[in-house]
Amino acid sequence: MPGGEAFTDAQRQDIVRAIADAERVSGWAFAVEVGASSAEPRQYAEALHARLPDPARSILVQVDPGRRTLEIVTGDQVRRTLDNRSAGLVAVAMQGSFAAGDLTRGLTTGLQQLAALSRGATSLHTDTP
Amino acid sequence: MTLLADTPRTWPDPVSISTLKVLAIFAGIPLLVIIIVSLLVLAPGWVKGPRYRPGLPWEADNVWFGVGVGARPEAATDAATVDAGRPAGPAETAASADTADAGPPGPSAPSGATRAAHPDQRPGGASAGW
Repeated sequence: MPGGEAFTDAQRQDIVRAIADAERVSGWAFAVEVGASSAEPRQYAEALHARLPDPARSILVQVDPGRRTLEIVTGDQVRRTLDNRSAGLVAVAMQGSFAAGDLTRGLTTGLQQLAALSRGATSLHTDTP
Repeated sequence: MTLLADTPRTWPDPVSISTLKVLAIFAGIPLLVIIIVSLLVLAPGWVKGPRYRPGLPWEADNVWFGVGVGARPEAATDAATVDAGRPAGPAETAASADTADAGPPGPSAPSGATRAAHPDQRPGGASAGW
């Protein structure tokens, strides 16, 4: 990977669209960072997550292509609907695409799955008096 | 006997071809084919952009998508601080304090599975590598 831009404009648009869809579907806030993390990717990702506008209602995905690490960080409220086991399943799905060299596909499918799994159960009785 | 190996006299005289034309046929056409095949091979890569190859170093700048774009630069600074082995910035110290408040952290960075077994105030999620 040469220095400079990590994604083409089309790839960026795909990811931005995936984030918008995920936020619309789930109601949570999503953030994605692709790039170098620190020696401790988990701590780095959690520090990033803590600095989001509303961490408790946010999901952060940090991908370090150089170190080949993926971190999914979920806030307190998000964790009620998206437990760590589900997040781990999404991470496994994403790492398959990453290992094949397709960052964009890994991110977009991962965001879709995170949104679907964190959406929570649909209430069927909201109209009932 | 040497006549036998010669061009039959009944054959018409061939039209003389200029050197330029010979070059065009024997060098130009193969070159053209090479260029077309090369384009067919390389064009998808140009359209799709630089491809990530696992195992090769990643030198592209960090990219941020979604909420909290404003939070990025400080985080990058912190990351650089951690990488350089210098004392952590105030935000990093605060994060460490949160960690200490939340409960006794393990000897190393706890994995997602460890955190799943001990739900606390720390954020959840998962880690993976490839």
